[in-house]
Amino acid sequence: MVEKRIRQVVAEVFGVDPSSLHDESGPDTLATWDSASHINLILAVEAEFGVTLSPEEAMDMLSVGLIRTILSEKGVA
Amino acid sequence: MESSVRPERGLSELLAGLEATPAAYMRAARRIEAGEFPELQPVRLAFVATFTVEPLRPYVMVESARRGLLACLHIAPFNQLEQQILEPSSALYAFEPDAVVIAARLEDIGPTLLCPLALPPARVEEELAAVEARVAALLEGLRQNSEAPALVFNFPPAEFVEAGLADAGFERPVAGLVQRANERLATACRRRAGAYVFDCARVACEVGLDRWRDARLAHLYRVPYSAEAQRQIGRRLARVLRATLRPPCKCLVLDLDNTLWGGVLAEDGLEGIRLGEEYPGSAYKEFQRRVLSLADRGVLLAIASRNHREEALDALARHPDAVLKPKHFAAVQIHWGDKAQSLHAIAAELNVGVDALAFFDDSPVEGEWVRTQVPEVTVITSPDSHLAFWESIDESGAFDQLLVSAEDLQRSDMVRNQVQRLSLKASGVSLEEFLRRLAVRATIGPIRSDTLPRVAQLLAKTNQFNLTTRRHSAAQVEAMIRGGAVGLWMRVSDRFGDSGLVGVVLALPRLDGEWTVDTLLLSCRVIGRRAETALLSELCGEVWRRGGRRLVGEFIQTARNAPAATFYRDHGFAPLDGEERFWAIALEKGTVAPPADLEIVRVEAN
Repeated sequence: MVEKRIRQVVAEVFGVDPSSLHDESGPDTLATWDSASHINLILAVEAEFGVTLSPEEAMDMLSVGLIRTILSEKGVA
Repeated sequence: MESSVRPERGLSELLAGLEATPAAYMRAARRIEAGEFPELQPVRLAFVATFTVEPLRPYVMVESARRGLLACLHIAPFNQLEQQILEPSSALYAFEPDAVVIAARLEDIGPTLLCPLALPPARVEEELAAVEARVAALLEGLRQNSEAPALVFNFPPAEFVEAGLADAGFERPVAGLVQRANERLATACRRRAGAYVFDCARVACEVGLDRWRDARLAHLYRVPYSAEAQRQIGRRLARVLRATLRPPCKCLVLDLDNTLWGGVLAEDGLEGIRLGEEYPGSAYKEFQRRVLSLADRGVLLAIASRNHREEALDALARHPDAVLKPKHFAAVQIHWGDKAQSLHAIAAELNVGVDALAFFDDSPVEGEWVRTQVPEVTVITSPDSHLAFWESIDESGAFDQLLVSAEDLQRSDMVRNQVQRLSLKASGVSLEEFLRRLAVRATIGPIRSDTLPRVAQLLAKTNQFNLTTRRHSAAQVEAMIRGGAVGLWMRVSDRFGDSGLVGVVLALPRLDGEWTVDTLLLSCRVIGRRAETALLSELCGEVWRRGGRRLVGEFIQTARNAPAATFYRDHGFAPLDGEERFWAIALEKGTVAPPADLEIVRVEAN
């Protein structure tokens, strides 16, 4: 469930098909994942999961897998 | 799993159901950017900023679409104000913007003003002047290279208050310094054609300073705004952008029952309707006050109501809490008939097109009826609560204007004067006698920077007595005059009052002593007083003095400018073609005599 929601948010922010995403999807694999859209990703993840990310977490959130790891550390099951 | 292929939906459905989340805005922005909605009007908007602007993109795109615009964005590299604006070959100008946002933070262009404890009192003026000078130089630079309007962000309240609790009582409070910097920025804009303040400070107050800033985004990415702030800036910017492109409506047409007061007059009677100091009457009274402020800004008011006419006017005149009195309404249609017909009648009476009308009625049925019958009218959707009436009118943008001219402030008086003029006309004298009694005076002078904003306003909105309907911007007019064109303005006054600056003419030199009239227009308020003859007479004189020996006029027919169709024929010009578009006259000294019953005053300045 969380996995699906993460992929949905990433897909909406970067304009790709959610089914094309995997754990390693990140700035190296998605052309539209640049520093400007990363800002929108941070805000979109926060809005979707109702969490507040620290600056370190925001910087580290550089793949679908890392987003899941960071969210689970924050108690999002 | 939800498929990424969504059913095709229309724009209004997309926007109505849009969640206020970044992801939702990004998804919607992508569809808009992909060109899915061909009904949107494209507009090229460039950003030049001292900070990272990119996150604003989806919000500006979506909110512009809400106002009928397809925003095509160009974001100049971070912190390159002068590099982009002063360099003619920059990417900014290659983009060919329709509007340019200049967004500089006070932290970046006037940081000492944010540190009043260390700022010697003697240096305050110097620092303020430096901010104004920098903004002014950017605006001048922009004008050298582009005619696009500039939208200049002003400065939100300081995020950090150095003196802490003592700031408000300190002799140089940071709040006051930011305010003074904003005044200087506004001065720089006011002095230049096509430069407008974007009131970022107001947006910050509306959002609230606690929610305005996101410290992480500020430190990591140099984004000074939170997600919420970005969305609200996008909303306001879209509204301002629309106002640069479209003239405001000229008249607000209002219903009476359950709109200007609570209840139904015919059932509740004068004593029974809700209007006063206590709720719910207080909400209606406040609404009336705000509507009156529109009138003070120059918007005409009218009534379209199903009621008994005498009873309704009597209620406005006699109700002790009625802020709006019968004298505030320029046209009144109170009867039991169709409101679509009423709107046509109001437009005819006020001498404006139906597209200049905005209609507000608490009944969604009336609104929908008008929408289907007179689609040119701007129908403002009525909110569920009467507490939100004003917000609906304001947020509609129907009366958005980027500057308020002296003429706007006078207009409500002018409407009343017009009514007196009409009654003088009705008393059965000849036109010549009428004009003589009216003591019309036309004051004519060359267009300069002080008159340019009003000239541009007239160019943007005059429809009826407009021979070519060319919508030049202030910057274009300025460029034409710099290039040798004759540009004259005309003010008209009479014994009932001053109509303000109401006429414009622009003529361009061609070869061999031939000049062409690019633009000649007259506000509909003063049609029929021979003022147009005065303006043409002065133009012929000025062109002749500059060596012109033949003047070619042009009439470009539109759906609205029939009153100007015979203008050149009436003044002795001969048609150059069968289509009666081009007309010519040989110039001699005194070609086109000034009208006999009108006094012309020639001046060098406004």
